[in-house]
Amino acid sequence: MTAVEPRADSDAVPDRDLALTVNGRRRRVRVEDRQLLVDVLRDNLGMTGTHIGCAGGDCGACTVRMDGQITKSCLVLAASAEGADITTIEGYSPRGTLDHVQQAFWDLDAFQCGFCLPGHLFAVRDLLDRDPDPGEDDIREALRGNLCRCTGYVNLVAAAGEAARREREDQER
Amino acid sequence: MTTTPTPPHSLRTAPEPDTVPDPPPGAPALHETDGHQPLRRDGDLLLTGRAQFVDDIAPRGLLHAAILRSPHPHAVIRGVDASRARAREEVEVVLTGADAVDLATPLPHFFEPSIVGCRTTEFRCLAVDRVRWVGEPVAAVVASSLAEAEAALADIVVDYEPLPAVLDADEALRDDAPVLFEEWGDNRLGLFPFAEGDAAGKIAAAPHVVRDELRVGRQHVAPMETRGYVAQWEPGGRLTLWASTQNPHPLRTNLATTLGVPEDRVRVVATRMGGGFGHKFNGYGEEPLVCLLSRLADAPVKWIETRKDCLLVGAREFTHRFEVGFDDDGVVLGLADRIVGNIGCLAPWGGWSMTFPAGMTFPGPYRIADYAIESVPVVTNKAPWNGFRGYGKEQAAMALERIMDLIAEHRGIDPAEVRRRNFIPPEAFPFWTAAKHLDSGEYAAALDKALALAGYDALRARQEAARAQGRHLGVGIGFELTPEGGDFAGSFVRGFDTSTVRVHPSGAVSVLTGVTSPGTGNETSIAHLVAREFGIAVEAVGVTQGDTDACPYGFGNFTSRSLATGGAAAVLAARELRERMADAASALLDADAAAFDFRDGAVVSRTDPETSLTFAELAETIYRRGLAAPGLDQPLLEVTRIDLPHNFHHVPDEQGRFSAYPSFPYSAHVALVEVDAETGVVELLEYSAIDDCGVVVSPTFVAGQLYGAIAQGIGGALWEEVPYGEDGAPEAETFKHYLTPRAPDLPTIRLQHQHTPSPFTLLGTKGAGESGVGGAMAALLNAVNDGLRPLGVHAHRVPLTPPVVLDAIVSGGAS
Amino acid sequence: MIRTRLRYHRPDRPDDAAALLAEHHGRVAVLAGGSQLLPRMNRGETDVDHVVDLRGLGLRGIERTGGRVRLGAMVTYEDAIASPLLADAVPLLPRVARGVTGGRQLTGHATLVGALCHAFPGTDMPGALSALGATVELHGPSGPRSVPVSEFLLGAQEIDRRAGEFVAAVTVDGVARSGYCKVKHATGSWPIATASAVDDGDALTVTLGAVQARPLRIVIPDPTRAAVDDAVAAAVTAPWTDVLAPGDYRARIAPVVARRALTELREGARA
Repeated sequence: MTAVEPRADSDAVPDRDLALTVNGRRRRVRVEDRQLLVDVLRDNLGMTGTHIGCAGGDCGACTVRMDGQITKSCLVLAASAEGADITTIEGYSPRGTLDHVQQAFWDLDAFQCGFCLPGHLFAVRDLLDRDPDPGEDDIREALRGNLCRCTGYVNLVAAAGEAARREREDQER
Repeated sequence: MTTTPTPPHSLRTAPEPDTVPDPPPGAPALHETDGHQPLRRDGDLLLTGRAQFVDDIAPRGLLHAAILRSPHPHAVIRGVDASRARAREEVEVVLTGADAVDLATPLPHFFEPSIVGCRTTEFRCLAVDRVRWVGEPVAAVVASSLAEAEAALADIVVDYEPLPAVLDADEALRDDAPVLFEEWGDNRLGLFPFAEGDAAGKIAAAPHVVRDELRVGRQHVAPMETRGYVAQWEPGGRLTLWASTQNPHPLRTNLATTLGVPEDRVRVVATRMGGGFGHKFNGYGEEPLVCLLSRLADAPVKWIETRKDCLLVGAREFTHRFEVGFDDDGVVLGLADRIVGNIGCLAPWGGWSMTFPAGMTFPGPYRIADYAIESVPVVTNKAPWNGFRGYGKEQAAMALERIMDLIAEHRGIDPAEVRRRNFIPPEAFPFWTAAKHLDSGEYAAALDKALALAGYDALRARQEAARAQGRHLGVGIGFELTPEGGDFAGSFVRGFDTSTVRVHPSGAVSVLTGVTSPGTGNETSIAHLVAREFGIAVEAVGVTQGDTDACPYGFGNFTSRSLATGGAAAVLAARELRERMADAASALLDADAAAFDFRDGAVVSRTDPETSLTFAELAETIYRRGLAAPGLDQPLLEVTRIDLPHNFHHVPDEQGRFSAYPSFPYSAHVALVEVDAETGVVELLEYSAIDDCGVVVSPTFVAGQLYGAIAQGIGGALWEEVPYGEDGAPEAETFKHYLTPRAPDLPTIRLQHQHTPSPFTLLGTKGAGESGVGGAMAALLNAVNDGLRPLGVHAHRVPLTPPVVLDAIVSGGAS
Repeated sequence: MIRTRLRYHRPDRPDDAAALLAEHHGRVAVLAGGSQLLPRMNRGETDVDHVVDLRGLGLRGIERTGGRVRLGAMVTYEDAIASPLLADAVPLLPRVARGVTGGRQLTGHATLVGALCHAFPGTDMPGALSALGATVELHGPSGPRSVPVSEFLLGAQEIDRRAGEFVAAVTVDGVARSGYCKVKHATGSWPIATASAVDDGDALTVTLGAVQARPLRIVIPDPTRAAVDDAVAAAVTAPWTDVLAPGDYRARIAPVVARRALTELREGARA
C-alpha cells in the first residue's frame, strides 16, 4: 500500500536496497532503515570526507549537496533519500582539481584542523552560486549553519571573498 | 613576609641550561622572519575530503563500543547486572567495573598531583564501587554495530545507592560538605601560593583600596572532532591504538603499564586531529578500556565520543576574590587574589592542574613588588576538567585587567594610562617574579600599537556620542601575559622534545618528531625550517608525527612549545647533518668544508660557485662511497637531537624563586561592544589586537592561531557555559546549549604583530597558540563593564550572557 | 545512533499514512524535514519503532484559499523565503524564516509545520503561527480535522494530535502588516523570546513566543509604552526556564520584545 515498503522480516533490523547517485556514480547499497545518510555515505560507501561533528544538525561538518540543495546529512534518514543525486566533499570538484573556493581557502589559510571544511566549502559554494559578489556580512550570514573552532572565521571570510573575486575575474575573461 | 611556593623535590634535579648554543657558521639568520612560508601541508587532502581522522579508521571486522555512564552525581554501586545485555544476539562483550579490576591496573595520572604537593588517589577505567559525577563510565558494551551497542546499554541494570552530592566549590569547602574522597577528610586537592613582599601590609597602608569578586562559569573546549580510539590486537600480542590524542608516546607508556604489555609491543598512532586545545591530553579511562574491549572481543573495536559526552569535560570554573591597594596615580602598591577552582571530580586526566598557572601567571605584565596569590583546587561532584587553551593563564589576565580598569575608574584615569604606569619596563628584563623568569617584553609599545590599531581615541569619541543618545557602547582593553612551554619534571609534561632528521640517498629528507600537531600547522613549519637548513625545496622534506613506531619518544602537543622544542631539535639535527655533508663535499671536491653554502638544492663552494654538487648527488655519493673513499668517514645521514627553551630555573634561587615556564609571549587587545540595556544582549562591534611572540617562523599560522584563540576568548567571555541542574547533571548537551561563536557573531579581527625575540630560544621564538584567549576574555569583560558605566553598575560574572548582564543592570538599581 | 529497530514508511496517500500511524500508535513518529526528530532519535530521547515520512504525499504547496493562505506540511523555510505569495500576503513568515539558524543546509529541509508540531517553546514557529491565527489541518483515520492553533498547542512539546493523525497543512490569515522581534544569545542560540506584532485591521496584537510553554497572544488596545508593558507584564504569569535563560529573564524582556515588534510593525518591516 505504500510506495517504498521494506521486506516484512519480523526479527531482523529493517533494511532495504537504496539507489543513489554519489559524485556522479550510480550506487546501490543495502542500508538499515535506521541509518542516517551520513553513516551510509561514510560506512557503506567509504565517503569519509563527510565528517560527524555533532550528529545534531548544528556544526555542518556533514554537509553534502543533495539534489542541488546543500544539506546536513546527519538530518536525513538514508531510506528517505532513495534516488537522490548526492555530491560529497570528495566530489565537490573534479578529481585532482581544486575550484576557486578550495584554492582560495588554501592560499589564505582559511582552515587549520580541516574537520569542519565540508560545511564551509559547500556553504560558500552555495553562496557564490547565488551571489557572485557578496559582502562580508553576506558571507558571514551564509556560514551561520557551520561551526569552526580553530580560525575565528577571519581567513574563512576573507577566502570566500577572494574566491568570489577570482571567479568574477574568470567570468570577465 | 615573603612566601614562595616550594617546587617538589623532583623538579630540583633537572638540568639547568641557561645559554643558547651558537649556530654553526653559514647557518641562515633565524632571528628574523624571511617573509615567505609554504602553504599548509596536506591542504589539498583536507580540502577534498581525503585526509584521514580517527573515525575514518575501519579495520576489517571492526566492532563498536558504547559506554554506560552514571546518572548520579554521587552514589555507591551496590551491584551491576549485565546478564540481559550479554544475552543479546549482537553483543560480543559486556564489561563492568568489577570485571575490569583484574584486567587493568589503576590508571597513571597525566599529571600526578603529588608531584606538586597535592592530594591524590587511584582511578580505574570503569567505576567499581562508587561514582562521583554524572557521566562517569560504569560499564561498556561491544556489538556488531554502534546502534546495537547503544541499545544494549539499556539492558544493564546498575543498583545505585545515591549519596549527597556537592556541586559548588564554596559549599564543598564547608565543614559539613559531602566529601568525595573520604581518605582526604575534606575536598581540598591542594593549595598553590605565589607571593612576594608584604601584600597585606601594603594594601592596609594604601591610600586607595578596591575589593571585588569575579566568577567564571564552567566552560568547555568543544573541538569539532570529538575524541575517539580504535584498538586492534595482532596475533602474538601486539597492540595498535589509533587515537585522537595530543600525547601518543605518554599514552603508549601508560597503556603498557595499565594493560601489562611490554611497551615496545604497543603502537599508538595519533591520527590527524580535528582540534585538540587540551581536550585530547591523555589520561582518559576510555584509552585502556577500548584496548581491553578489543582484547576481549578478539576483534578491532572503535569508540567515538558523542558530542554530549564530549561536553561533560569541563574547565575554567573559577572564583576570584581580590583586593588591591594603589596610590593617587593608579600605581599598584599591593595585590591579593584568592582563587578557588571548581575542578569537578579529580581524574587521571590532568585538567585540574590549570589551577597552578591560574595563580602562577600573576602579577602578569605588571611590576608589583608586593602580592599574595592563592589558588585552591577544590573537588566537587561535577565531571572532571581536562585542559582548555589558556590553561588557567586566562584567569590571571581577567582578574588583573579587571583590576586595572577598576583602578582607572576609581582614580578617573584612562585605563590605558593606568596600565602604562604599572607595566614592567623593557629595560628590566629578564625579570624575576616568584615563579617566573620573564624573558623579554615591550609591553607599553604593544599596548600603544593596539590603541593605534583600534583607533582608541575615535572609539572613545564614538562612545561619547552614543551615550548622548542613550546607547551603551563600551571600550575594553585586555593585556595578556601567557607563560608557555612549561616543564614539570616527574611528569610527562616536559619542556624538551626530540626530532630525528634523516637524509635519504635520493636527497629526500625525513623528519620524525615527538611533537604532534592538533591542526595548527607545526608540521609545515618544521619542514620549512629543515628545508632552509639544507637549502632544498620544502616539498623534499617529509614530516612524520604521532606514530610511536616511527618517531622518537616525545611528549606531543601542549603549552605552545612545538617549534621551540621539536622544531629547534630538528634544526639542530639538520645542522649536524649539514656539517657531515659539508665534510663529505670538502673531501669530494677538495675544498674547505666551512666554505660551502647549501642553497637552491645544491652544495656550492663560496669561493668558486662552479665547485658544487647537487644536494641529492652528495647524499647518494655518501651512501655509495662512504667509508670506502678518502675523507668520507661519516656515512650516517641520520641525527637525533633534543632541544628546549633555555630559560628553565628548576632550582630555586636564594630568594626561593623558580621558573617552570621559559617563554612569555603577550598580547594587547581592544574591543568595542554595544550593550542593549533593555535585554542585556552584548554585540561585539570591533576588535583589534597586537601580538608579540618573538621571532615568527610562519606568520600566517601564528595569525591563524591568534584569530582562533581570540574567538575562543570571545565565546568564553560572552556565551559559553555548561550549567548544572539541581540533579547534578550538566545541562549543555548540544551546540544549541553550548554556544561557541559562529561567523555572524564576530567582526573581522584586526591583528598586527610586534617581535621581541626571546634571548633564550634557538630561534628567538616564544610560544604561539594559546596567547589571545585571556586577552580577549579580559577585553570583553572590561568593554561590557565600560558600557554599563553610565548605569552605575558592574558585571562580575563570566560568561556575560544576556541574563547575567541584565541581572547586573537590574540588581544595580539602574533605571 | 538510532538504537531502535526502526522501520521506515513512505506512504503516497494520506489515508495510508493515517492507517500506518494508527497501526503503530505510540511507537511511531511523523517525519517531515527531520531536523528536530532525527537528532532526538539519535540521542535516544525519542524512542519509536516506525517513522512515517510525509514526503510522498506532495504537501509542499503554498496557496491561497479564500482569504487565507495554506502551507503544506512539507513547506520548508527556504520555500517560505522564496514565495512571492507569502511576501505579499503574509510577510511575517518569510521575515521569521530568514532568522532561523542552521544555515541553508537546514532551512532547505526543515519545515514550518514540523517546528509547530514539535512545539518546543524555544523555536520561532509556534509563536509566529499563533500570531497569524493559524488553523491546523490534521488528517486521520476518520478523515480531516481542523483545530485552531491555540487549541492545538497544549504545552511544551505537547500537541493535540490523536492516534493516526498527522498535520497536513496550516492555514493562516493574510496579514500584510506585521513586525517581528527575536532576542537570542548568539547566532547558534535558539530564541529566548520572540514577539510577532500583527495588525489585521480589526485589532492590534502581539504574540509572544518562547516566553512561556505556549505562545501568548496579547491584544494591545493602547500601543503606548506604558500600556504595552502593563499588558505584557499582566499576561506573563509562568515564564519558561531552560538551559539558556531563567524564567525571570524572559519575564523581564518580554515587554521589550513586544515593544520592538510593534515598532517594526509601525515603521515597516526591514528586509
